[in-house]
Amino acid sequence: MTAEQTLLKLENLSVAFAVSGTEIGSHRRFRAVDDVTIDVAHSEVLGLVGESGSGKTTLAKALLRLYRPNAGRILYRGVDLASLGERALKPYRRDMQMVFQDPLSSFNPRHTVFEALAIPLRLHRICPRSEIPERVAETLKRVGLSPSLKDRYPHELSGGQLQRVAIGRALTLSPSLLVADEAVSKLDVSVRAQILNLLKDLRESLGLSILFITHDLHVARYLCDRVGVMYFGKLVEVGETDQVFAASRHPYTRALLGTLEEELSGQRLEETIAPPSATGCRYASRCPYRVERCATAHPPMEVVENGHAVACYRWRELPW
Amino acid sequence: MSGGPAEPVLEVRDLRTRFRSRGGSIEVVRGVDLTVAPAEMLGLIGESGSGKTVTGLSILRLLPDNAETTNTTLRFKGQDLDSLGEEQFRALRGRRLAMIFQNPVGAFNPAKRIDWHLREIIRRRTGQDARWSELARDALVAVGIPQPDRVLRLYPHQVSGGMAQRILIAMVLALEPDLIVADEPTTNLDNIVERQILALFRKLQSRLNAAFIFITHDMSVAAALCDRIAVMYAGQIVEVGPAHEIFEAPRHPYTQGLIATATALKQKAPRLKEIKGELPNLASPPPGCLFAPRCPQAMPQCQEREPPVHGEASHLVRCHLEAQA
Repeated sequence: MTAEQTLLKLENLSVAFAVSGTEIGSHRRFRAVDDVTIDVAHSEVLGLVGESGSGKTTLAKALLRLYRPNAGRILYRGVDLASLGERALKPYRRDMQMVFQDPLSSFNPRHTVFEALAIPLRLHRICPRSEIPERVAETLKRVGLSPSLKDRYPHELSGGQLQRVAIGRALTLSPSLLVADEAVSKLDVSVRAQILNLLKDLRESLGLSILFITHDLHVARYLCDRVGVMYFGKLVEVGETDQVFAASRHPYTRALLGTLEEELSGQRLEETIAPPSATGCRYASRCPYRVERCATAHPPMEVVENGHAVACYRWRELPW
Repeated sequence: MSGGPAEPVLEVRDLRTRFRSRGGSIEVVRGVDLTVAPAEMLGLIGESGSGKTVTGLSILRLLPDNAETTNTTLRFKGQDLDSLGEEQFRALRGRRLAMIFQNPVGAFNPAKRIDWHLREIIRRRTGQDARWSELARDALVAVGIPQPDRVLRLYPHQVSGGMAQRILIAMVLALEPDLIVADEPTTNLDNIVERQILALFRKLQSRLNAAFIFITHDMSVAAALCDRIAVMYAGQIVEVGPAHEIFEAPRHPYTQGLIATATALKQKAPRLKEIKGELPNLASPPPGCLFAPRCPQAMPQCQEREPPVHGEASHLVRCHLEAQA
């Protein structure tokens, strides 16, 4: 990817939290995101998949500077956001918007849909006040809702309608990057399809870049151009969607892709139930293919082929 | 499986549940019939708001105060449940009837360790305390928990969601109930753990010989796990039949839509099939078929008359299209 095509590049990003240790008053650092390098091109949908606790959400919040990273750079259009102060960040905040998992809790219950959509316009002085009603109506239409819903309160809308409003709210500021954190996970299958189709349409009509966080690989495969797989703070595999799904190399990606049918018929090598390893490869404690070497250090990312990289010592010799 | 040789564990006839609110009352379960045989796993599927959870709660008398069930016949192993008073029913629930909820952590007493929970269960089943620790350990091992002795000493908040659900399943295993209602037991879990837990359910079912009602919104999960599937829409069962028939040859347009959306994601379709629109407002339900406003195959009569139930006993469909076939 050339520099021109890159909208966002995370370089060796780490985010750590202090967690209380076993002794009273003691602390240890927990690396929620550990040395992750990944980029997003203009108009690209990058999927970030992994289980809860893998650091996907922390990574997203750090790149929006809702958390301050401990190390590494967040290069957005070539500018390192990690080092900027609040005032200098404001124009970038407008350019990067987020949609959350639970639509109901991401709205003020005492604001109508109109208020929710008008506030960002006022805050960033996007248009004269007189134009706000027109803008709000346009936004609602763009996400497939009737403008007549503007006077409703969040609790008066269904989950699917509300998630549409959330997407509309994120788009009112015409961002270049949309971060969608499990934006369809709480929705029913039928509504999920509606929202996924909407995101796909918006990406095509607006040329949006989307960082799409999900634990559902089928959803990622449908929507994303490229996919990164995270495990316990580490990026373990990244590549074009087809590379990751049809030719995945990492045992964890393989495990994620397994099906219930395989599980029921006992065709799969069983994963161990174990917490992540503290030393060596994070996945080693659960990996059915681990060898002694895996306990030494977390493996570095190695290029499998153009654009496809994996962090596993044994990727060349595994049985697939 | 109705009409099979074994006496059904549970028979539900015309279950109706209403919720009272300021503006009046809404019937959210609108005449549900269900039969579950011993060792059978019945999948109850539908989107949120379709009434599947309320159906489960109604059967176990766990409804909130502003809800009531009317005009219903509930039979458990031939016994009429309606004739039971609160006290008698409570003795049955938690012993012969069990429920597994979506949020496993909420099902534990946070102030007590895991061993206390299992001990309670074992005491309830056997009526005594002897050998409880041995039985508790066995139950944990049976659900794939390594180091059961360590886990027994933990508090509920010290275990992960997947582990909590495993422990809950171990508790059900130790209880050996006759009927288990599992309400979206894996929805909050990551997919590797979800798969492991679902496989565990299958194992558990064959071991206990219990009847299972498995509530889920995921058609592919139901198809892989269940013997029969009942599809709920707007408080009614719109189709019920053997899982493979429902999945391979769905007859109700709503079932067809659910399966199309579920499988399109897996086949990387260029565009996902949607079921347009939303559930009807049951405070003022539309006339005729409740699915008609969203149905791609709706005919004029669908807006006028409620469709009757068609088909044979093993596979029933509530749709006007069946009359034409």
